[in-house]
Amino acid sequence: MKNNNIYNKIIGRLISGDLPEGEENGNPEEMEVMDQYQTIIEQSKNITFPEFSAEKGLIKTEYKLQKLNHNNKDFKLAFLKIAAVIVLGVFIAYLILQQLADRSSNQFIEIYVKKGEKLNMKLPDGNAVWLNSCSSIKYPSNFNGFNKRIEVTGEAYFDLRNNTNYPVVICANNNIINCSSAAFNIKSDSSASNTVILVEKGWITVSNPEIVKDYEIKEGEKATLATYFPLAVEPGYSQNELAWRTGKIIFDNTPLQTVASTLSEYYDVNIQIEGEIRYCQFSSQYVNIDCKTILNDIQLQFKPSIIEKNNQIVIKGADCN
Amino acid sequence: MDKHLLIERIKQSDKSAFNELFIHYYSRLCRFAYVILHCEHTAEEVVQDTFVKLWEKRKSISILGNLDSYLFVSVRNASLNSVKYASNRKNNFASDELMKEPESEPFNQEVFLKRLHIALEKLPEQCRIIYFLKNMEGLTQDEIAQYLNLSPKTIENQLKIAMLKLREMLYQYKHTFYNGYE
Repeated sequence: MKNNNIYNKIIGRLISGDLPEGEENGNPEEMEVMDQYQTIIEQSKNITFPEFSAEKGLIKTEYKLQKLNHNNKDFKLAFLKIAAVIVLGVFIAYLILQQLADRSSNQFIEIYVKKGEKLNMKLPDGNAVWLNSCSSIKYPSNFNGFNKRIEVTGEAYFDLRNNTNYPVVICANNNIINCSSAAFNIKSDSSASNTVILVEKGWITVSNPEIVKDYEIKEGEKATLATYFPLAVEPGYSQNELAWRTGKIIFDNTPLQTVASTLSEYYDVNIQIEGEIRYCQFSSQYVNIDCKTILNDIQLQFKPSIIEKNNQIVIKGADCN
Repeated sequence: MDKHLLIERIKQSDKSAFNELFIHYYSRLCRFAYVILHCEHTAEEVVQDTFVKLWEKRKSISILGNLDSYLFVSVRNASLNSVKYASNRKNNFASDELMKEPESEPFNQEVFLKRLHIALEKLPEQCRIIYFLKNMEGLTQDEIAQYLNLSPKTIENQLKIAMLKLREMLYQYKHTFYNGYE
């Protein structure tokens, strides 16, 4: 027996169409093997198949299609009868429910937090909400059952873990968030029409007109919903993104560039950073500390020049010393 | 035949486009199903049902890429799912007469074809389908890859396996093949 290598080579040539016809000076050993394969291939072409008539097949297929349509019609009729009964029942139930709901008045409660202020409040069902500055929520006064609906603008943190029977539906920037038991942060920017959701505990589902089906966002995930990009979910987020509520700011070998953007956001100031210093790493932890103290710490560690003018703070430095 | 146009017309419930597609593909798909099922009747049933499904789903269907691929893969899957598949395979090809013939018998094409047929049946499913498309339907490797939604490398490997196995199973013919060179 020859080794498999030579067979492999020959078969490779055969199936790639590189046949030896007219190839006089081929290796005789190879030619022998080649001939065996070629006989097999050529004989394969002589294997006959039954005749399949497309015309007859088409007639049979037509018949099948007709039968199917017929069945569908029967089914549709039966279905319509049942559907009519159900729709009628549901409609009557809806009318009764609406009558009941009207009695308990359909008023909304709207809460708005001014610039520079924050608010911690409780919803009628006992769950807690934190509102950042320039944010608002709106919910019906009879906040219970299917009426657990909240509209949000700006940034808010919901702790809805004290939720028993009905899910809370939150609407932010056309996104609908369904939550049974979770704690999460919603930040929606209506001008850029994008919404960022951080789930700290539990899970929620989101949907919006751009996403076909509901999408589940789990504990520890960060979801970004924007009109130009329907949904992006990433695992993990920085605790500093929740600093507006907790007051805790943590830097752990964080480049000063990132530090500057975190501080800009948290203290609502404009911090610019110039020079190589932006790549220097800074570590520290703060709880409810003002911006000045943190800038002082940076000054002490890296000795940059910090200039404050026109509501803008510019940090400038060439290296990390 | 513009396949994209045909699909578009079928989507708009144009029955004549459907018929055109049917006539074009029917016998090829039947032969293909036959290779898997070994039963004329079942093969035809499977192909007809595939077309019925295509027509039923015409509005929601979106054929990504190749129409050939869509049809061949559908027929392949339907054939393999067919209830009759397993029993047919067992009944028809339990025979083991392949190796029994003495080596010195003169070459008889009829007998050889019969043996080749049996040998082909003994190939693994994928191997056999690919071998059939290549050597009986005369498709190129790239076409097969497209039809079955596989990589060309897989096709090549499967063909190599098929050839080696066939040669092994038809080993008693080695003298016949060797004659010309002795």
